[in-house]
Parts: sequence; C-alpha cells; structure tokens
Amino acid sequence: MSLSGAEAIVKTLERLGVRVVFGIPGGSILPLYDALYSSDIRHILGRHEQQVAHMADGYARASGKPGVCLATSGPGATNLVTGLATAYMDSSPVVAITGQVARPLIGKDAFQEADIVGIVTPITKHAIQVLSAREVPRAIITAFTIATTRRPGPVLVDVPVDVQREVLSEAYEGLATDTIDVKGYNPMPPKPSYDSIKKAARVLEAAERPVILAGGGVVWSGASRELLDLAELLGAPVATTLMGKGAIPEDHPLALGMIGMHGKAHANYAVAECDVLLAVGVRFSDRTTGRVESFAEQAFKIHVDIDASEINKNVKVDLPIVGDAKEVLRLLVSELVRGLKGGSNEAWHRRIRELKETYVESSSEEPHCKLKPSRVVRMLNEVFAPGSLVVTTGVGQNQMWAAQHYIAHSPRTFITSGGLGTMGFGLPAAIGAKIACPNKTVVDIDGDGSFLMTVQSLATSVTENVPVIALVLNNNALGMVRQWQYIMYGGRFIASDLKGVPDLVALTRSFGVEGVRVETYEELRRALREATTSEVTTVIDVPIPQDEKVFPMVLPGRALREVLLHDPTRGR
Amino acid sequence: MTLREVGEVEPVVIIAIVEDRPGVLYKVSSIIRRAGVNIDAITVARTVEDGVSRMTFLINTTRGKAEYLARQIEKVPTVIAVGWHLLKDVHSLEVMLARISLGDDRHDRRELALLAKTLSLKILEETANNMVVAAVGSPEEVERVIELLMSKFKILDLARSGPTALTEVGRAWPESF
Repeated sequence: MSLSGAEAIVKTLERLGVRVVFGIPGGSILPLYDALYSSDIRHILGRHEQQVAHMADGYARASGKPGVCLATSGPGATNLVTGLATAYMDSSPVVAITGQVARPLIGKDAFQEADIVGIVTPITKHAIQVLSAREVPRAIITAFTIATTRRPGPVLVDVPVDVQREVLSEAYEGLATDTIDVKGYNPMPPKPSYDSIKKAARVLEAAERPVILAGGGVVWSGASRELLDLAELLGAPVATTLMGKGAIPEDHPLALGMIGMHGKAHANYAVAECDVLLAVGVRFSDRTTGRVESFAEQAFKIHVDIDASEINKNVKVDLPIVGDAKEVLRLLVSELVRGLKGGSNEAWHRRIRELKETYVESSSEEPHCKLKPSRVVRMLNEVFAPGSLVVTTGVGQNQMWAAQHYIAHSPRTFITSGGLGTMGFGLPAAIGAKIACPNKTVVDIDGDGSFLMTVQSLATSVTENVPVIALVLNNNALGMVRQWQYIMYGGRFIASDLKGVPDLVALTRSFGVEGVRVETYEELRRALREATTSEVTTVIDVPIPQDEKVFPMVLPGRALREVLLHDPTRGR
Repeated sequence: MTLREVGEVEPVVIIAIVEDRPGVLYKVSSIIRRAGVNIDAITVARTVEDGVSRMTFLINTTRGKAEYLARQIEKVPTVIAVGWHLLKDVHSLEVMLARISLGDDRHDRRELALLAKTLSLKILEETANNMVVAAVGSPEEVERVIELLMSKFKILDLARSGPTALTEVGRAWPESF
C-alpha cells in the first residue's frame, strides 16, 4: 500500500462528500491536481483566484455546504485574499487549499513563495500549514469542521508541495479520522440560557410595538421556519438586514423588508419606533444601524447570536442570548405557546400600515429615463415564478437596487457581499450558485464597474457549461461613488466616469456567451425569457442614466429616522 | 456603553490559555494590534497540561476594550480559555535581571552586596567590574528596585520579563451576561 499526501487530501475530500472544487493549478499544487485526475470530484477551472474564491463562496451560500477552492503558492494564494475576506465578513464556510513551496525552501524567498498563513490569519476563522503527509486527513477534517460549525467562516490549509508528494507506506483507512486537533474549539453551538429565554418570552409577550430583526445568522442556521412561527405567534413585523434578506418571504404580510442605509423607509421608522427589538443573527453593522447611539433607542433590545463576541460589540443590548438562532427561536416559540396571553398589537399594526402607505415608493417614470433601474429589477419579480431564482449582486448602486426591489421568497436565494462590499463578487458567485442549484435560474444583478472586475469568469461559465444570466445596470460609471460625490462632495466628480468603455455586448460575445443590449422594458422581458432557456450564459446590457440615484438613503452618521426619501438637492 | 467606548485607561492583564503551536501568539497579538492597543509586556510558557501554554499580556486600556479584546480572543479556535483583570486586582510577579557596573570602587561593591541582602536580590554573577543581580516581585516592586539601583549605580543592561499572573480564566467575564 502507498498513499501520497495529495491522495490523502483528495480521499478526505471525497469522504467529506465534496462533489466540486474551484481552482487554478500551478507548480506548487500540481501533485494535488494529479491526484484529482483519478477522482470523481468535479473541478471548475477559474481564470483568476479571486473569482475562484467567490465561486466557492457563492456555492456555499446557495447550498449551505462548504465551498472548496484551490490555488497554487505565492500569487495564486495571495489572489485568494479578497475572496477569503469577503467570506469572512459574511460568515461563509469556504475552505481554501493552497500549495506552498517545499518545506526546505520555506522562508528562503523561494520562487512563488508567500507566507499565506501569515497573510490570511486576520481574515480567516482558522489557517493552518500541514507539515507532514500523515497530518493531512486530520488537517482537512479540522478545516471543514471549523469552517462549517458554530459561526461559519473561511479556513485555509496550506500544504507544501513536498508534503503533497510525500508517500506513506500505509492505506488511507489507517489514517482516516473524524476528530479535529484543536483543543480550544467546540463544534457544538453554545447552549442558550433557559432563564434568558424565559425572560425574553415575557418581554416579547408584553411588547406593544415589537419588531424582529433577522440577519444572516438566521439564514446560516436554517431558522426561517422558526422565525416565521415566532413572528406569526407574536404578530411581530420582521425587518431584515442585507444579509438576512430572504430569511422571511418578502411578500409575507409581516415582512417589512430591509433596514439600514438604503433600507425601506417604513422599515427604518418601524425599528426607530419599536418598544422591543428582537435581533437574531445580526452583528449590527454600521450600514444597518445608522448612527448607533440612536438605533432603536426606545427599544428593549434582545440580541440572539451564536458568537458571544458580538454581544455589546456595536450596540449595547438589554438581554443577550448566546446560542444557535434555530434553537433559540424554537425555544422562544415553545415558551410563548405555554404562556401567551394573546396580545394583538392592533395599534402597532395600524401604525405599520400607515408607515407603509406613507412611504410607498413612487413608481412614476421620469420622461428622460427610458429604463429605470428599480423597474428593471422589479421585472425579475414579474418574469420569474417565486422560488425559481437565485439572485447574486455586484456592489454599489446595483446591489442596493437589487436589495430594495427584488422580492426574495426564501433563504439562500439572495447572495451578496454585504460586509466587505466586494465589487466583482456577483458573476463568479452566480457561477458557484448555479453549480449548487442547477435547476434554478441564477441572475447576477450587476453594475458595469463591478461586472468588469471579474468579467473573465465568463470564460469559466462557457468552458464548464454553467449558464447564468448577468443583468448589467450600465451607467458607465462607478455609480455609488458618483452618488456620494454628488451628495457629499458638492458634485465634484473625479475618477467615477467609466466613459462607456468597453462595449459590453462585443466584449462578452468574444467569450462565446450571448450578449444583448436592451432599450425598452419589452426588450428586457424578451431577453430575460430567452436567457432562461439558453444553454449559454447571457449578458444583458441595460443602459441606465448616469445620474440615477439610490433612495431612500440614510446619510453616514445619521439616525435611521433621518432617512432621506429623495435627492436632497433636487429642485435646489 | 458598547465594548469599545472610551473610559479610563488602566493597566490590564489579559490571560489566554492556548494551544502550544506555531501561529497562536501571532493571531492573538494581531487582535490586540487591530484594536490599536500597545502591548507593554507578554509572557508565554507551558502549563502542566501537555501542549497547552499560558499567555499573559499586560496592556493599558479601558475596561470596555479589555472585555472586547477578551471576547475576540476567546473565539480563536486555538484559544482554550481567556480572562482579563485589572493589574491591581491580581497577584502578579515579574523577574528582573540587571548588570551593574562597579568599576574599581570597593565601597560600591560593599554597598551593592548590602542592598542585595536588604532587597532580597539574588546575585547571579560577580566579576571584577560588574555584578548581575536578579529580583522577583510585583511590577511596582521591581520598578522600585530599578529606581533604587539607578540612583546609586550605573546599570549596564537590564531585562524585565513582564508580569505573569495566576488567576482564574474562563468565561467568567467581569461584566457577565
């Protein structure tokens, strides 16, 4: 019997049920690729390691399973950095396996050597270097366990090329293990305190104006059913963060939509006016809270999170519950069912209805504007059946229009770089999501600036037969930068005009995908329908006016209730 | 107040029980670096348990930030347990070694020997020109010894270990929830 370190990696991946890996080969990871040659694991070849990491991330977010990416040493590994930081900020279980120069060369500035463990340590949940083939199975098991349990996050495993080549004179079965080698890590979620659950239940049933705020933790925990049960039991409206979008069906009568800088105005007011806020799986990002001192200032705040370090980090709360969202919500429901007096909160619901009616988004078409981005996004709600779509986004105006106007019906169907705000995330994440959900239509709502940052992913979509739709809201600009320059820098536009270069249709066609430019809603509708049945990726170039802005908006440093509904300078 | 807000800056000891393996000190100290806090002293050594080390960080910070740092450190997978305390609330000791120049002065030598006896300094080495003494004590005691030595002699070289402390660690946060 003989077994190389590289074969041990592949066998452990197979044992973990990994079906697909995303990567780009290079010198220091060739033994691993050679071992993949005789494996059934599907390999998706990227064109740049950043998008390889985003593809693995998109796969993880759409499926709930870990996404695996491979890169060679040096530049291959350093190119992963943005992708890993993106996954870290949004708690996504990405496992990166990098090649490293041979052990005797480490620290000698060898060709394509980079201290990748040192580089990614602050942006990963865990990073390890494996120094013998014998350690490989346990290292990979450890990486997957840490990536996927408690609060998920990316883990990097760095394997020197000579460790991959090292041959052991024993069978894999003798080395296989299920135990991790990190003493300080308990994969089981923390047990919530029953006293806190009881106290929370009493506070919630006494609430007159309750609001539930659901974040990404609800999605990762798979707690949507429990969230809905609790909301319906309490009659509590549910707002979400950007990462929580889809945690509750957004057409549900209790759904308020997203809060925050570009959240729904009525949702921001509801949070500002509530008397009890139950925040579940959120980390109170500055984009969500606005001016933190004024955030839900009248409310008794209950914070449920699996990560104890989130408690009181950004917002001081009155009652923390450390535990898994699904379990805590289930316990809250059973505690409430036992003691509920049946408060109907009728006045609060009237107030919410009033807020919704007051701040209804105007759908008026401005004459100069042929295609309005809000309506372009809303067309997805008309053309596609609920639940048939997974949406990914770029970052910037396109992302906010998508978040505001696309109606998400279920968790894991709205995939966006919320924390790091990584432009270029949308297209590779869409490819990863499509591989996770081959029976769904995957639409990347993007902007021309974001799209161009990882446009080479189109080559992957063609050669690996992964058809997605990219809907590019094309304003020939870095639109959100321009919006800030307009509102906050007195209209002194610098370096935000992309001047319409390149021609997206011609560019994307050169990759062998469908490229189409639409000028009317009818053309857009037709293009979307055709794209759905197309066997190749379709890029739909949607020209929109450069001065179109995202509203509502809470200016940085302002409270949620100071939300601006329109351009403050309009009519000046 | 959230965990990072301003308050009075005080000497704080953060103790982490960690796995004895490469990269753990880097990860933990990087969390302190990211918070913009300077580390005044670190001691790291093995514990009675195989493969487990104890790290003691002395920093100057607010209680809120100390709590924030402890919680961030606690979530590192290779960290087993964490605690933080105000320096004044814990029994802490540090070691000081000093090489003192004596020159040709016999009076100096006698005086230093006497001082060593009064202050319980250990004499580690004596040569014609200098003497190496060691002190063990609380950081304030060590500070006083150094001041006294400096007022009378020329210190050629000085090494301080920074304090180490024997206190309870775990999830018993001072501001518990």
